Amino acid sequence: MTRYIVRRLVGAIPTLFIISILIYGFVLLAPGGPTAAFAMNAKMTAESRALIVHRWGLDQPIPVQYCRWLGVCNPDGQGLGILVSNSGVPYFLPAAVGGGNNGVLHLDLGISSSKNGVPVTEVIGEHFPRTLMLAGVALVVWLTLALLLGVISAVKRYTKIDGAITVFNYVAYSFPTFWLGLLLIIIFSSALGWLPAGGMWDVKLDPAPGFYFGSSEYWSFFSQHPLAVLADLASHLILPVATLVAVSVAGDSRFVRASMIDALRQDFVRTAGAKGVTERRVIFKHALRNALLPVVTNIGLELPFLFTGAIATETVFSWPGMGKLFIDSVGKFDYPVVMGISVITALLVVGGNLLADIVYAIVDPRISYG
Amino acid sequence: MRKRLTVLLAIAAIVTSACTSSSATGTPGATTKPSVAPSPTAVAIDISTTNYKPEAVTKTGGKLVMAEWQEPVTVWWNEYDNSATDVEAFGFSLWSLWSATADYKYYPQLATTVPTVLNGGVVLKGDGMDETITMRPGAMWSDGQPITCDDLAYQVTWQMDAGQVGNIQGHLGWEDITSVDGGSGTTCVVHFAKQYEGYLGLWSPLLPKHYLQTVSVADAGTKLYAANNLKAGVYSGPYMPTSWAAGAEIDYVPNPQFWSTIKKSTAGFDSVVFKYYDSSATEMAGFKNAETDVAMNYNQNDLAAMTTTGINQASIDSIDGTTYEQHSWNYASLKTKFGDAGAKALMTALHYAYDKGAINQRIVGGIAVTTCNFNSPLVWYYKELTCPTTDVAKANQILDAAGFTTGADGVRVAPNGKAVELLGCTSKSRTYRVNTLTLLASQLQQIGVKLDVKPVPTVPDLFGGWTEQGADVPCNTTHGNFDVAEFAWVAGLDPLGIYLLYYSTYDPSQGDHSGVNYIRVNNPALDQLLDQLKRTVDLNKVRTIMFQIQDIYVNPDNAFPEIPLYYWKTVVLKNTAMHNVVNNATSATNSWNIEDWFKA
Amino acid sequence: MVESGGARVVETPEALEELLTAHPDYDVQLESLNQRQLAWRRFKRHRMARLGSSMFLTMVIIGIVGPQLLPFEKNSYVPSNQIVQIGRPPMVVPYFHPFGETTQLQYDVLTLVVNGIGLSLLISVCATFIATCIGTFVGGIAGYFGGWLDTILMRIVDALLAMPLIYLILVASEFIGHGAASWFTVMLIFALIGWLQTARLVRSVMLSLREEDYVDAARVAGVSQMRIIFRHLLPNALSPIIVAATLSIAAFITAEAFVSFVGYGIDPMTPTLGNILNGAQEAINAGNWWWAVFPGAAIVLIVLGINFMGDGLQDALDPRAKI
Repeated sequence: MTRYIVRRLVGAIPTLFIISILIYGFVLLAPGGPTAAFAMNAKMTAESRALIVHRWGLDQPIPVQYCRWLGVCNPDGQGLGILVSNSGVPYFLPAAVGGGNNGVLHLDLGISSSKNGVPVTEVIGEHFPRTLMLAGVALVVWLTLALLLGVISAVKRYTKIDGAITVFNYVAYSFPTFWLGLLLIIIFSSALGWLPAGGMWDVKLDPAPGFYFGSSEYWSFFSQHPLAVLADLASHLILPVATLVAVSVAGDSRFVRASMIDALRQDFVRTAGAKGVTERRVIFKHALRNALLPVVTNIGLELPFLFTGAIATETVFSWPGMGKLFIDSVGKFDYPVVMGISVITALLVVGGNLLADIVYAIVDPRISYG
Repeated sequence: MRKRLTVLLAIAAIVTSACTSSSATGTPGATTKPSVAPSPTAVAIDISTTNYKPEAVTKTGGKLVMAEWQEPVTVWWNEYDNSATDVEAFGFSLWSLWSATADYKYYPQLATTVPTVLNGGVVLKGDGMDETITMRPGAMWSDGQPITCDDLAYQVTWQMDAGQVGNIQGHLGWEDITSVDGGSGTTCVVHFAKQYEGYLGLWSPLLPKHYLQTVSVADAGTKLYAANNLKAGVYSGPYMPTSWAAGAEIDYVPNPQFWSTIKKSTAGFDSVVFKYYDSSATEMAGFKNAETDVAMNYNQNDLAAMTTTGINQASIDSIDGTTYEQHSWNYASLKTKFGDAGAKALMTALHYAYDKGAINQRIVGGIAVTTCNFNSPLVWYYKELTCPTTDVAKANQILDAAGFTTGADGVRVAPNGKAVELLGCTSKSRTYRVNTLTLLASQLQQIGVKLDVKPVPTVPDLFGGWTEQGADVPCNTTHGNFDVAEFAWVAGLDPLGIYLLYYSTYDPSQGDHSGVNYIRVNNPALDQLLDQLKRTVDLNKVRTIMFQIQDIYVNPDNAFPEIPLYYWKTVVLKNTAMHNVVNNATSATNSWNIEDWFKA
Repeated sequence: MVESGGARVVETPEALEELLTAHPDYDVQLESLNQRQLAWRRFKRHRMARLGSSMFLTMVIIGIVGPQLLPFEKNSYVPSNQIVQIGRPPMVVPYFHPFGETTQLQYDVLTLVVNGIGLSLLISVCATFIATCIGTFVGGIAGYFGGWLDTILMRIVDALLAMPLIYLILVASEFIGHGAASWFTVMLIFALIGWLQTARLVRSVMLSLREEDYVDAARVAGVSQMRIIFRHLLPNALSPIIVAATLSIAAFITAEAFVSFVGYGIDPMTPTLGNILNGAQEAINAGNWWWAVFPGAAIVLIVLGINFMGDGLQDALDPRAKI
């Protein structure tokens, strides 16, 4: 088992390496750059612009730029010395051992070109918890709902209830996420006025300054008025979560239904029935556990897509998370942030796949891996 | 996703920095226009007496929430970036010496008076001049250091430093300063070697010497006033930023030094927040749901939506602005395609072919004011011009007389054999502009001109720099790959703002490619007038020159390659409980007098 | 039951019994159907498949015929009470707008939607076709030859799949197409990013199929490798490919809608379902909700139809299903 895990981990490394090249290569296709923002400035001299280009290292050959971004080359080095850190140690080793401290391998994703000098890791770090909140709540709601709907339609298969749930699933699955979001806003915010049109918190909730999600003021206010803050958070979460869940639950509940039906047909269920256990307990103890298997392994695969599926939702609801950051950065041609988010998402996906494989291997005794 | 054109903002910055004497002889709304006589009488043009009188503050405290739908880029407004959103968000943290008022005058901020020739603050000395700036005695920066003439003097050296990276002010105006007297006192005399018309736009903002000296000049833009370390910055204005939650909001607290040494009263609010929405529509919805007190960055295109959304009419404040929607024609491209004579005839015909009324009606719902002047009626050097009327027959006549024939498909053919097929460009994120060009295309069909409309991203396509992308990127205004482009200019208070737009050597295809004369106009008479303008500080002479420039501009026979459409309206939404929120259409933006705001 | 030259065809044993009881004199002949005909029969009888196909076909017809009847003139503002027939001068007709009008230039929303359906479908179907071809080729080769070729190809596919495709599409559309690309560019971008799943699918099918005996026999007989792959093995992998292709049309439609909605897709002058929604977003606040609702409804109907069809195809092509 351990050998399998180790092998998979090692096998992921070339994949990640290729991913990094692809990410960097993609961005190379793009025009503009950090100097794009100064395009319309009549009074900036050409020398000043050249200085900016030099600062960002854009006048270096491309492989060198890639190498520096990755964290294998030393920005201060010259010639072949770029592979070695200032302490004489190969640059790609961790800083603690004397290696470098710039670049992806050293957890430095560069500096945002549209946020005037803020490191990319900080920018992403600010946005990540907000997406986590949205994705986390959506995940819980969607799993619960998928299980519920799947089980109900499996137990009541071929009846009207099953039919209704199936129709709902199909229709919900066909809605583009962003359009569903727009519709919900039209109905519940513009027309009825019950829920806020977007955002994540009501800045007026707290008269003190510095009140935004994740700030120290937010948490201290939360400790004093937990219900008010939770209610506010909930009111902002309802519509985006509903949007995210509606589309995802459809696919999964059909999946659960299929697995449940399969499990219900199995012999051991009939045996348990024969032993005299009530039908209900049979379902929920035995069949469910077996039906959970594919769903559980699926989570690992679905998780990254929650973050990316959130792009549409976050855009429509002005949720200031990673998805919205990505879209805004692409629009501003802020390459460091775009690359940073891509790297993190790729890591999440690879990690998620790995997790799914490992869980599957642990849980399913029929699979043997050398 | 919809971004205000940085061009508009570039000019706003150019105007702020080259800003100068200008004043309307009346408040906006009062339509007293200056006399139309060609040589205006020597009426004393006073720019430092404003009608602005704030209400007395009756209640302080509470939290002020302002709203925007475009995030600023940096605290360094007008230094390392030129967006109006920067001025909106940080103009009241880093003050200038004086600010533009809503009635197009100046009122003092860090200085105590606004120096002009009229009040003796500016003394002409041969080719040069001396400007006396009186700072406030006892005024302090937010960290307790005094604000003195030393800061003024140091900033001159700092702006001119060769190590500057990315500073957008350049050297215009600064290079004419020889010395600043005053030391650590508060009465400063600035010596100019040459008279500079835009002197009022310098020190906008005023920067603290002791803070600037903590890092090298090249690092200043990134290390000082950093977005993730706002508390370490040194500020002079009423509210200073403490944190910036990217994509969400900026938080401010009152600057105690300001309220005790400059304003000498209690802060209007205990805390201030600038909240960012995803789009103007969600910002409107947020205002309607009482999430915010003042919502900014609206124009004439939003008025209809405001009424339909059900926003209280008393909350909507709409005034005519100095921004004007215009079509920039690329004269160099026309000349290349159709020859000099052909281009001139075509451009003249175009002046007659536009139906601006129809554009106003269809696109803006008829609520804008069409114009043929690049100046707003509210500026003191505005001349009432006789606009050419829409005359399709005349346009066709002009083209026929110049030798343009009509092909079988209805498209004209120039004397040199080229079909008149033109490319129209604009930002793809502004649908109404795409619609305007489409409408224009159908109008131009009537004179046999075929216009193809191509929307592109603002940056880097429409306004990308010379080296930022290939030379043949369609619609790039710097390279001149367009025939007509639509965007908005601010022809602001300072008449010198047009210097960079219309002076022939600022053609971006020439020199170091940093000019913004996108229309590539090359009119020697105009160049001469602009040169005179730059070196004149006598407001009467300035007005005479500007009258002459406007005459050149409007006459279709001059084939001037810029056709203005209509003036924008500056619209702000404000909670009826807010006091002293005065809609300001200049580049000082709507937060210009935030130190007087209160909510009761 | 089908009549054909004196013979009657029945499909189920029950119907056969019924017929024989009614006509005891009939002679019974067994007709064997191949896989394809069986599958087609199953598909035809599948209720959802029928519903889905008719929905999808209706949309396709609207998309093809609609723009001829209600053409959208790019670069030329046509007043809303005129209908433009290509090649003729515009006719002024009293025309009411069943789906409403847009603001400012008062374009007819029905015209926009109809043209949008056509273009969106064109992009999606073409992209699917190209993506399927590429994916089948790559997956087929990787699965058949195995070894280092397989490893390299699959590593690249894995790496690309590790990136959320919507990211790639957004970045590519904005950076290459400058957000104002022609439909061809966008279609290519989709195709070049969308072939990955098909490749994986085909590869796994190939891995199992290549162990079959008849493959060895063919090889021994001297049949070329390529012939084996494309004439003998791939046709057996057709079923999952077809299902995947059908579903990817739906995926592309939604993806194109989203990319155009955020403004990074096709040239805003050309209506696609996403472009229309992009323009409609601002208008919602001004009270014009129909501009946003109808294009979205069109998307839902197309995707729903495809999903039904895909479900039906899956059931029909599944060899283990009973008739």
